[in-house]
Amino acid sequence: MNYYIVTKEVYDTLDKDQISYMHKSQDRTKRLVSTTETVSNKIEEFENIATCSSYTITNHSDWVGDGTGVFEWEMEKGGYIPVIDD
Amino acid sequence: MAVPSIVDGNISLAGITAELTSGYDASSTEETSLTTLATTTTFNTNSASYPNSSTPHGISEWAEYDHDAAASWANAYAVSKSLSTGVGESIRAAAMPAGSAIHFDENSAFTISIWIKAGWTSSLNTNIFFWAMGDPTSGGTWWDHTMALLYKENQNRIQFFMRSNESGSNRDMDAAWLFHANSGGYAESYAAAGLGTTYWSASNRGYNSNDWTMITLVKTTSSASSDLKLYWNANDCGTVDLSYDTNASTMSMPTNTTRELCIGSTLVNNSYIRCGDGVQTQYDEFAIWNEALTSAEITAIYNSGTPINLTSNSGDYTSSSNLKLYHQFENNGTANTGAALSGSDYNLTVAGDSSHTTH
Repeated sequence: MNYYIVTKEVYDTLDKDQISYMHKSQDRTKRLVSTTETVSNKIEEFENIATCSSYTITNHSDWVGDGTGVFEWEMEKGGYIPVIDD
Repeated sequence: MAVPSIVDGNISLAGITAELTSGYDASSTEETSLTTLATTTTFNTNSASYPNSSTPHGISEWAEYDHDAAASWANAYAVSKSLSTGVGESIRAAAMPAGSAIHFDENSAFTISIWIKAGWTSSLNTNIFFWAMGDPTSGGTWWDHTMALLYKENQNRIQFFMRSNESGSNRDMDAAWLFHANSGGYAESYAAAGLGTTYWSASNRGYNSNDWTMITLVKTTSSASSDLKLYWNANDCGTVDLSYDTNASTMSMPTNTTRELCIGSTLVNNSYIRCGDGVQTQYDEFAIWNEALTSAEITAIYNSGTPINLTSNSGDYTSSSNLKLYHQFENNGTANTGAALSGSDYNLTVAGDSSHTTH
């Protein structure tokens, strides 16, 4: 699994069938995704799920906004619904 | 033998009426009573004939309550919060004594219920914590030794977690119910909430579209997240859609320290409070039992959108003796003395942008 932060525009081009988790940034301009696809045009790439989760906790104001973050289990278990991206 | 049938959203007893009048002696007292019942009993008398956008889960739902019933309050007050982050702006009991009847751990059975009138918009894009309790000061990160129920607006799901020490042995239980898709494992929660494929917000409150929603979490003595139950009003949200336990069976949620309780926020130094943007979110009828209420009891306490007094048993609700903490907010943050726990340790301080308000 690969963990990225990409722009909304790049996210729109990704293969949704390969995405297992997606989280919108607070300003909705970026997407955190876990996907089996290899993405070259990314803002950030994380080595593993732990570093990805830690990033959202450290930068929570950009991602969740209330002191929490995106937890590892959330990314691991997925629950991605394509239509949620509205 | 005639059976009731559903006609235009109501339960029709016409067949029974016909059977009674053709095959029985209507002059007898018993038969007359039955005929009267069959011709005059009316079910589902609220304004809308059909529940919004779904069929009922079972015929019992038609008789027991109406999805469209608007909340009707016998009491007058609630508490409210708006979108803000600031120390002291809270609905909070700072230090409930160690070892109380609501110091739950991974092996505890409990039920926690709260009524919510959503004030947030779908652009909030963050988490709305309904309640949180625990001892965050004794862990490495704020969610250590804490349990909470929240709506992840970003993901249109309600999530529960209980964590003893994530920074150490990574022991926790987590579960979520997703409301955004009428498919696969999500179909039950999708049907339970009635939100459709849009987010829960002030402009889309699912069933009871302009009113209050009762959200109830039920935990048995099992430490498996997959055994948790969530109810949207009286609707069972079904199998947990996402769950994750890390050593949950051996986790150790400490009960020998004081615990903080917050309504509408996390426990992070009493400072992270995000519950609405523009319109205040309202909370009412916060109740905790130290047992797992049954589905029939949840239906009884929902009572078609009219909260009952939980200190007394009523119909299928038989657990008043296990009601441990009860905040009706009729007297600001003062806990109802009809529950087991009350007094200054359990009273909630309503401060900052939080306010005591009428419905």
